[in-house]
Formats: sequence, structure tokens, C-alpha cells
Amino acid sequence: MYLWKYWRESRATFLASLLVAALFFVLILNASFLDPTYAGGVRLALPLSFLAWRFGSFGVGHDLDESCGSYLLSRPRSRSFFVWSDWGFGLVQLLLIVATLDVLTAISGHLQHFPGLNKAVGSSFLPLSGVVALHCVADLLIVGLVFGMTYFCTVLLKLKGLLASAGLLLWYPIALVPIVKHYWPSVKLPSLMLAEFVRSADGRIVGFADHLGLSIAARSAMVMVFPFAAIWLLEKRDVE
Amino acid sequence: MSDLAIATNSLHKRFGDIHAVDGLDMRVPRGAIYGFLGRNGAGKTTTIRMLAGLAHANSGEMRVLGLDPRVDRVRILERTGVVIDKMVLPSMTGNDLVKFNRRFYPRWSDELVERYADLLEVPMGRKFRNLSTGNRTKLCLLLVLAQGAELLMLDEPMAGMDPVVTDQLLRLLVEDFASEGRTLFLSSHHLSEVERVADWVGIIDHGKLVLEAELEEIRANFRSVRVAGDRLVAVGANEVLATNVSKGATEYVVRADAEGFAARLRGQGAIVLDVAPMNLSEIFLELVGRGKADVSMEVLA
Repeated sequence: MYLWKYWRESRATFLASLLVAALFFVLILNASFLDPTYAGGVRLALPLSFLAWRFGSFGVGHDLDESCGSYLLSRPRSRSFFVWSDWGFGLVQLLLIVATLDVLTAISGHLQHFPGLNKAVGSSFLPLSGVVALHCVADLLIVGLVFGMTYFCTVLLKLKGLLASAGLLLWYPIALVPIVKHYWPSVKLPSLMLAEFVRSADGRIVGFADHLGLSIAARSAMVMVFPFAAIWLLEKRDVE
Repeated sequence: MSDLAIATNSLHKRFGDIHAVDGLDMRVPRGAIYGFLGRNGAGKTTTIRMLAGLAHANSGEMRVLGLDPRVDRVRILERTGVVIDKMVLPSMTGNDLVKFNRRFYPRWSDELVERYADLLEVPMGRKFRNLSTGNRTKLCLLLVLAQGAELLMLDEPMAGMDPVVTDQLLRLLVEDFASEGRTLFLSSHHLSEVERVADWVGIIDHGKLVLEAELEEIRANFRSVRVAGDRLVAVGANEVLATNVSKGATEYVVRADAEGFAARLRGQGAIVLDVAPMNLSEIFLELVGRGKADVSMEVLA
């Protein structure tokens, strides 16, 4: 029944996202002004990150902000139950949105609206379904990171956590990465966008990126840090 | 099984330099209607928060239904109804809240929901945020009563209620809930309400329990002994709860054997003006109000 509560809060955003994805698809099919190149993958990471940021505001942090944290957390369930329910259900909704968008993009490519996509998979190193799956994983890892960080920040700071999370996410690529690059050129910070999953040559996918498994595992671990941190925080703090 | 629904031992809770709960020793018998009294900021809400597992104690021990809230929070909350802020999920209607709560409690009763919704005339189809203060309180109590709890911990449940609603809710709590042998722990600073329904009373002041007694004991034994003169007589009596020195007279609040105490005073040369029974309000004022700052208990002990 707790999932039903999360669904009530998030359903408008979820359904609106699917609607936007459908409109996006229709637009691609009918618009002649779009750039018809695939360019190594249609990057949906930015709008998806925004969506993940929005989803991160639902759940316990939202209830703490509305002064009903005492009510919610005096239901007979562990703190981890609430966090894992929020986190799991939020991520499932985001996965559905990610998968929908990536599949629609692939269909668009198949229908020659993104001929670059067909070129990318034309080497037969990876079938189209493999590329779509890789993009789903990449997009899910970035939305998982944004979602988890935002969720943790709202548990920590209530509504202000939304701003804190947005600030952190913008600060990293806009400020930290250039600063590190300027002063310590040999240090390369990982990209949030996770674009380097495959190696390309002349627009074609010719192989997987080096240490792909390790990269996915490390980023997955980062995604998992936030729900555990949120549980730890909820166990330690006094609920107001 | 312990005979106590709630027990605390030297419980402490600090917020920075403020000792919100300062060595609280409390015993709430099972089946009691326990009025937990204190002024605003005395530590009532903080105590309930700790008992419900919502706040952490700095030190001390506590047991709720024989279980430690720090270890068995979920098991306690399965058997305990808690109303603290009278704030529930604001975007939900009463019906939504029933749907939301039902699965959390194995002994949940939809029949009780229907009955209390009719009885209290709660608009179950309206969102919580759009309800009046009175209806919010009624809905909170309806939800907590439908849980089938063994223990209810209610923080200032009647605050902001008009007398008619207060009467209605108090009767409901006593006749429907507590009459079945379940424990009602009720914090309040509205003494007349507590005096009407409670059988046990605890008075907290500055985080310490300054009195814990059965209401019958208070009515039967607590007395005000007034003595002429404003110089304290060295009485050495453990039964003296408080002393109030005013112009030309000293008043002792005595919890037992008031006549014996008065006799001892007379034996020491004091002129006893009268020995009078006290009600809960008078005792409360003596303990946490006007007379308390005048004389420390150590002088009398």
C-alpha cells in the first residue's frame, strides 16, 4: 500500500513523461527539419536527468518537508522499507521511461529517420537491440545517479535538497571538471554522461569500450550508495 | 509479561545545551488512562517521540509494552497508536488514508472506521489539508482507533477543540478504547480534561517527573497544610511535594498523612491554619507554577 502512495505522488510526472516521449516520436517521424545523423547516439541524458531529479523529490523527503514525517515513520515498518520502496518504485518508473525513449529512438533509426543509427550498427558488431540495451543501461545509470542523489538530498535537507542536488549536478561538469583539467591535466574525472560505452570508427561501432564491465559496476555501486546513505541518515536523525 | 505499558528509567534527551528530558523515571501501568501533564516545553512531546522511536535518547532506558523502542520499534508500532502532530499526508482524503493505513495493521477494522466516521461526522471524501482543525483531530483519532492498538499515545489530542468536540472525543476514548483494558497515554496541559478521564497522573517539569500518582490517591491524600508565618519550619518530611511561602503564611503540599504532618508541625511550635484537600489544578500549579521557585526541595528533605 505504500507503493500506492508513491504512485499517487509520481503518476502525473510519469504519465506526462510517457506522453512527451510519444510526442517526441511523432515529431521525429513527421519533421523534416531534424538533423538526420545519429552521431554516436541520441543523447537523452539531459531531459532524463531532469526527470530523475523530479522523481527524486517524491517519497520520504517530500513527507518530511510537509511536516508529516512523524506520521509516516510511525507506521510499523523499518526505515529501510520506506527508502527501498521509494527508490525501487521510482527507479522502475524511470526504467520504463528510459526504455520507451530508447526503443522509440531505435524504431526511428530503423525507419531511416536517424540513418546514423543504422550506420552505427551496420558493422554487425552489435545488433540494433544490443545498442538499444546499452543505451538503456547508460541512461539508467545516469538517471539512477541523479535520482538517488536527489532523493538523499531531500531526506537530508527536505525541499532545499532539490536545490542542493541540482547545484551538485551542475557544479560537477561546469566547475569541477574544468578546474581539475586546468590544474591537474593528467587527472581525468569520469563523465556523468557515460557516453563511452562503445568504440567507434568512421561512425561505426567497432567494439566495446575498455573496462566496460568495471565501469558499469563502479557506476552501479555509486548509484547504490545513495539509498544506503538515506537509510543510515533516517536511522540516525530525529524525525520531526 | 510486564505489568507496565510504558516504563522509563533515567531517560535523557538534550538539544544542544537544553535538557528537554532530564532523567525521566515514569511507570505507566497496563490498562491505565495516564494523564501526562506539563507546561509547554516541559518535555511531553519529546518523551512521546522517544517512546515512538522517532527521536533518540541520549541516555537512559525505556520500555513500551515490554519492548525497547530503539531495538523493537516496528513491533511496538504494530501494537501502538501514536498521534503527535495531528498532521497526516495532506493530499490524501480520509478514504485514501484508510486505504493507505489498512495494510500496515493486522488488526485494522473497517467497521470501526465506518462507525467513527458516522459518529464523529468526519468528511471522509475531503483532502486532509482542507479539513478544519476539529475534523483533522477527529480523523487522526479515527485512524488510530481503527488500528486495533493495545496502547494509544496521544500528544495534546484536544488542543484547539471546542468543548462539545472535546467531550465527544474524550467519551469515545474512554468508553470505546480504554474500557476494554487497553492503555491510554494522554499528554495535555488541559487539567480539567485529564482529571475527568485519567486514573493515573504524571506531571513533568523541565524534563523531570515531579509527580506520579493515581488520581484516587491524589484526591484521598493530597492536602494543602497552611502554617502561620513565612519562616520555614524544619520538618524533615518526605511526603512534602512543594512549599509556597507568601505573606505571613507558608503552604505545604503534602502527598500523604497530612494530619500527622500537621501534628508534627504543631509539635515544633507552628500554628497550623488549615489542612485542605486539593484538586489536580492546584497541585499542578504548586508543582510547576507559582510556588515552585520559592523553595528547593532539599531544604525540606
